[in-house]
Amino acid sequence: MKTSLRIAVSVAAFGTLSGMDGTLQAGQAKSASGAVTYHEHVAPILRKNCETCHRPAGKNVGGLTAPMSLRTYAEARPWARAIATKVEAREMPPWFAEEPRGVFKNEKGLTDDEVRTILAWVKGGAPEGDRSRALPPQAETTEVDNDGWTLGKPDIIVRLPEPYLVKDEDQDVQGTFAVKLTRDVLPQDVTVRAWEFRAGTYSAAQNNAVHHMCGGVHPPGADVTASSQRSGDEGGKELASLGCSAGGAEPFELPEGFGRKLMVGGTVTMGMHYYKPAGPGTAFKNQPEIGFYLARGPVRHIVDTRSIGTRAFEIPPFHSHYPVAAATTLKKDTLVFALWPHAHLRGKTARYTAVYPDGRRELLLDVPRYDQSWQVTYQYREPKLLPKGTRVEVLMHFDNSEVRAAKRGFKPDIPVWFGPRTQDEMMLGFFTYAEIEPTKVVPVTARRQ
Amino acid sequence: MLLLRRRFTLSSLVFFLGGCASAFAGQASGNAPRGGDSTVKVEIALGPGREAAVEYSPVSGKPPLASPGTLYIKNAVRLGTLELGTPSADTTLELRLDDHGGAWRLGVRNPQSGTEVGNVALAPSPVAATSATRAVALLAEAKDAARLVISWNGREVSSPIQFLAPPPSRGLDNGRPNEPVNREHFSDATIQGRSQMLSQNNLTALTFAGSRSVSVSYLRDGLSADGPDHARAASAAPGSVIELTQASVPWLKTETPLRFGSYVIVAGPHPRAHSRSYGLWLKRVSNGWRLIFNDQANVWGTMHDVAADVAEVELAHRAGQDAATPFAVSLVPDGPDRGQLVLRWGRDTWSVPFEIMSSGR
Repeated sequence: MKTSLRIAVSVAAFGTLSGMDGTLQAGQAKSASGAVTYHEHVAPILRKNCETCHRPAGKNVGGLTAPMSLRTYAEARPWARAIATKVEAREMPPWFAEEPRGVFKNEKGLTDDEVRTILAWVKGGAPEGDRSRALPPQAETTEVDNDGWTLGKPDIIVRLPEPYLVKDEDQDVQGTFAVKLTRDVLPQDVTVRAWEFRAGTYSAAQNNAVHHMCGGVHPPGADVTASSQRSGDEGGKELASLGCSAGGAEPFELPEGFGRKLMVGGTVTMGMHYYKPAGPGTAFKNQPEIGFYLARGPVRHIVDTRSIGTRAFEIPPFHSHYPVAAATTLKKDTLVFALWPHAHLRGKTARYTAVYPDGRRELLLDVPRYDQSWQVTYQYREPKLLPKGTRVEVLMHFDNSEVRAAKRGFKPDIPVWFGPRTQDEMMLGFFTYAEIEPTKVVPVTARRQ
Repeated sequence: MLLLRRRFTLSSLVFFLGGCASAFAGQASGNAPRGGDSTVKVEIALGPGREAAVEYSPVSGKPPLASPGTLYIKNAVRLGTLELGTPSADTTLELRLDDHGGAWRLGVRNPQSGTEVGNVALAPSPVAATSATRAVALLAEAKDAARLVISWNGREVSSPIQFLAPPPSRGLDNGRPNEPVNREHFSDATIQGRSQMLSQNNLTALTFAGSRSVSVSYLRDGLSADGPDHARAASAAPGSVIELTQASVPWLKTETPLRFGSYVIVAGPHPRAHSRSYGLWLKRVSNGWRLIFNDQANVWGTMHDVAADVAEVELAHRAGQDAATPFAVSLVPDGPDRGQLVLRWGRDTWSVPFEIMSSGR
């Protein structure tokens, strides 16, 4: 059974974009010669939808550790049949939100035409086609140029000074590492527009052992004994949180005017959760890091991440659809940049709903087939404005059945509570946001990566 | 009834925790008893480390604690003027009710050493009418304070309990940077689960003879008496289920079947599940109020699903004087196998009696 967070081609599927039932037939786009070829027809599809994960770097914990790169014909051709199978089943690319459509900039999914194109290519023998029509390489994401960072080379990298050893006998390890922002790391106070987590484990096997990584930024003199994992406190505001990253998550860049402040003498915390079987030969060293990207202009609004969740629940044994919910009422006008529902092995569905002060309800996110292996952060194309007094409700369902237990590797015959281990559960609806004053609402456009 | 005749103001409610003897594991005497053959155990938790319980025999014809009762505390408390317990430790003490020429006091004794720890003066409360109730209750009065109340045959005496500085919460790791904690995949998580729940909920429980426990928990500081939810409740139309926009639904958990009126609230839907949970919803009806038991125990107070209702029982209601009482629920013992479920919010108090059903009924 599959318990790791590894991104693999066997991740559960998501529905179609156009509502078709998956019975697409090959043979849509064709070249002048009549054949569907890689360079002319397939490469553009893979670049747009697949290469952010299927790339050679593999150093980022945020899910970009697909087992194979698909950037070139030589890389893609051996996987042609597998690609066809997965896209036809709508298992790839991974996107688990059913609604709403068109509001998240990292929304993935192939059109029916794109699926037909790929099927036709494979059916036709997966020909390469005319090399003169090959797409230019994506220079900014080559490993040499940016060492595998998704957003490009960071301006500041904060790294755990010494690797941490996860020992053979360790199974489920959690801890927070604190790194002082000394002047050799941070010469002066800065504001940053983006940050990216890297687990510091660079083999597929080691990345599987990183359940998640959370980050925090603390000003000089702050009490860093408060774990960065308290970004998960339901309804509470973790002033220092940078959020978390886990398998399937993608970093993103904030719009102009929004960001975080790093201060000399402050501290960056990295909350790590490792999950692996115990046994000889399973030990590994881990040296996590966070890359920060400087803001290009003044930061007027501080961005934070908090969660809407609860620690007070008990999932009964063998219950296949147990609801757990929480809510919070916003005290100020709030711009929301991203949503990240988080649960563990039994997480089944997740839904965010906004209830506006006038009583109107709006579905913000519906994930009907939650998969703990894919910790997708749903990033708004345009930040979502929720006025003061809006109640945001998060409802999750959990499946503690024997059927799911057999697939995911947990015990269904025990009650389950909130807890830090992968075998425990969490019910947390994270959101990244900035509180704004009503008079300072300005149109913003999310910066494209 | 004990609670309904209370003279002093309660700022929050009593929560009795059932089935949580493991929370007291590790003390010198081993796991705290979960209710012996003839004892009742009342518990209160106002957060992790702010926990206390009293176990006693509800003996007929005598006041409770005429024979020694047992006080279990986590960390340190001040009972009256007496400081008891030790930070970060579980303590077990014996209590005995003594009459000193009409002034009642509680004797506290260390059962391990046999030494007397001290005495606590008990303040009498006027009781409106004689009652045959023999009970001990722990009633929440503030965020970190409660009251120990003892009543029998028309008398009621009490002492304040102040919870003293519990250890700081350590979050999900151990609170010490650069010192990760390793846990086993399948080790027992009962204590940790309770601690996580108490980090945000108050809890009250009764454990009856035969280790049959009932508990109710609710979000701490969730619903004030002057908030929008109370205002809407006060003006709710008949037929309305009261919404709680600022809190989760109160959570009843029981290890034993309970009879509320003509309804039997079952426990354990599966042979391997020893308890069952219910959400509690208030409903306004034309001639008063009702309490709904709902299968969804852990949803928000705006998510009532009528399809998951399992029972609806009449509530007694009265309006009191104190308008400031925040929403709270308490379980009050009323004998060796029964009690009252009491809800309070502002001036309103609702209650319904229940009894433990023995196996086979």
